[in-house]
Amino acid sequence: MKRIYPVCYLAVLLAPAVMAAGTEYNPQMSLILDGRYSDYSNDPASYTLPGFQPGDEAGLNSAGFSIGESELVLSSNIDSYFSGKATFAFAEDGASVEEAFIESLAIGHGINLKFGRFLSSFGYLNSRHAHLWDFADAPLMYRALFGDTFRDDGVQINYLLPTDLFMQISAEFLSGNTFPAGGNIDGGVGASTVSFTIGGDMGTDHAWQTGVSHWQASNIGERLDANDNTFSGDSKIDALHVVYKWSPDGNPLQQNFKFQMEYFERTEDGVMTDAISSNTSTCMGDQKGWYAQAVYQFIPRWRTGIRIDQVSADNTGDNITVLTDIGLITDGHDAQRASAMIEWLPSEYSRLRLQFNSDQSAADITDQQIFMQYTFSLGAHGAHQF
Amino acid sequence: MKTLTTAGLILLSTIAANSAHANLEIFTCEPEWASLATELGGDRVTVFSATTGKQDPHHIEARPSLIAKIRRADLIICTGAELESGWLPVLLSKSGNEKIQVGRPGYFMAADYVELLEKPSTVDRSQGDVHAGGNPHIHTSPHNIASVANALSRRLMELDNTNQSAYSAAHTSFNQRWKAAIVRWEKQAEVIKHQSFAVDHKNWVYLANWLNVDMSTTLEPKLGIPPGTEYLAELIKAVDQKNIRKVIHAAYSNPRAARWLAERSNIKSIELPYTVGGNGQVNNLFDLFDETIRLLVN
Repeated sequence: MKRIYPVCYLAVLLAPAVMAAGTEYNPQMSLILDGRYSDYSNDPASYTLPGFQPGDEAGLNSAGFSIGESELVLSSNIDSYFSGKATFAFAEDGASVEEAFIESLAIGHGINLKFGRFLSSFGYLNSRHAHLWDFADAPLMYRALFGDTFRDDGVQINYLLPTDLFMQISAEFLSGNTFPAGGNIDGGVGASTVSFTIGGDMGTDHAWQTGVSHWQASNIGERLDANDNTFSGDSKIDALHVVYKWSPDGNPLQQNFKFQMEYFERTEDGVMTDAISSNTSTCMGDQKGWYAQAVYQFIPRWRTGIRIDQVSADNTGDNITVLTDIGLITDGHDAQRASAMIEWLPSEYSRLRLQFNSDQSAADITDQQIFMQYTFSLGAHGAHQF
Repeated sequence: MKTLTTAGLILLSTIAANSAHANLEIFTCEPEWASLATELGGDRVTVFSATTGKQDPHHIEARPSLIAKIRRADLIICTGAELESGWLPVLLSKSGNEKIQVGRPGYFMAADYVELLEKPSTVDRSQGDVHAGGNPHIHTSPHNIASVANALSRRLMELDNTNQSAYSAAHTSFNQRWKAAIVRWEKQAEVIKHQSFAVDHKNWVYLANWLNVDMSTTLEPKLGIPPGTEYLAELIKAVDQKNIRKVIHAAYSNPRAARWLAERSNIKSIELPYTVGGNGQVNNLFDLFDETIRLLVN
């Protein structure tokens, strides 16, 4: 019952806006239905990503038919000062609040404030919901660092410079209670990010965006991974992204092309504790990873794309046995993956996708993965960011 | 923290630099409203259009360049009626600009000032991408343009009240020229009255209604859904029954279906500019109707 409470609360919160606006489309509501059929040549339960502590959601989907996360999204302007948006995810093990945030409308001067729970604007892909991704799964580095995505409770401040070139500075002050932070010893702000993004057009056919982000959590008290091993200490991530889009005459409906790449580097300094033996080791982590992907809509309603992933870890400490048992020692193997997908979009509201992965996350085996995925959106017409 | 301090300093200096503005900065979603804003605002306004005549206003990316532009706007002029619902909300929420948010004086939706046609009694996606508010392609009737001009001129005066007399004079001048032009266009279009045309998308409902022509035969079986072969076969029949001589498509849309029908039925396929910039001849709203009627009549 505890989980139902926020839904009721939101309904009460949004009710006055419905009456004030007097249209049946306020608040905007949409439901995302997502599911897939997955096939693996290797047992998905034995999946590992050497060199990284896996987050809770970092595993593979089960083989065979499964529904993904069904999402219910409600959003509305609350009054002339604020708008609100909430996304509830319904999965096998219950419902959760993916996002529930308020955004300012009235500050002006290019300043925009967001508070509540939200997907961090760190990196590029992170702030996009999974149903908007171009592939059925997250890039390996997102899986390694965040357990697919990083969301937290806190405040986000954006400042957009008054220039012709798009230039935005963002900062986030977060609780630090979610992976890969994990309980701040001092309380208060447990994790923070700062990002700088620029972007623009080249003629009518080309648009681009690039940015750098920094994430950090100091004094992590106890970061629990999926196997209950813990890390305490400091963690920092730097990221770079580049996105380029092409469409003839700026008309993406007929044909379009999108290239996207992100690079991440994480350094960690702390103590790792093995859940089984309770032995500890100091841990100095240096982990790097990138992915690059290209997606091409060659005719209306058909898209195809390829993606390449690579991650590497160089972790050291004073007790190699502990680090080896936890899976942080890689023996020089860099996890790699190549993916290809094709999509058919019968309308703007439905999508069927077929994807192949050749996954060399583990050193000794290549896992051939196939996904057949459907994604449908019911209700309000979503507006998507670049 | 160093980065944050730098950010704070940049912030303060730009706020200071930004407070002195001479002209009204206008951001329009479509080029027809850019043209109207230029007619009514003259050199007291600076106008930027988010789209060109070659772009489908339903499907636009909320690009960084557009966010940078809308951030500095004093007024946005869009069609509304859900035409821009795939991208305008993102621009608004990312803009950090309080002046152009919904309900503010800087937020102007043209469709609020005309009577919309084709309001659906029920909105069901099995009917395609239906706009709940009615058909949003209002600018294809010059009478709608005149109504929007009245409202827009009042809005300009409200936002920039030191120049009220100039806006009023520009409006009066535009109105006189526009009314004379309507008389001319109606006369030129007399010859196509009651004729039937096939159209690519329901872009021309207001035009058809104004000129008293039939444009109810569309190449899309459902809104936003391209035709299949079965539907195209039905179209060929309709062409015969209604004695359709021309099939119309908008400059921004894919001409393939229209050309296919034209070839099969031995009728003429014409590309209408749809809006300002839709072809090289159309540089303003007057050109738009001159050219549209010339193409329909010839």
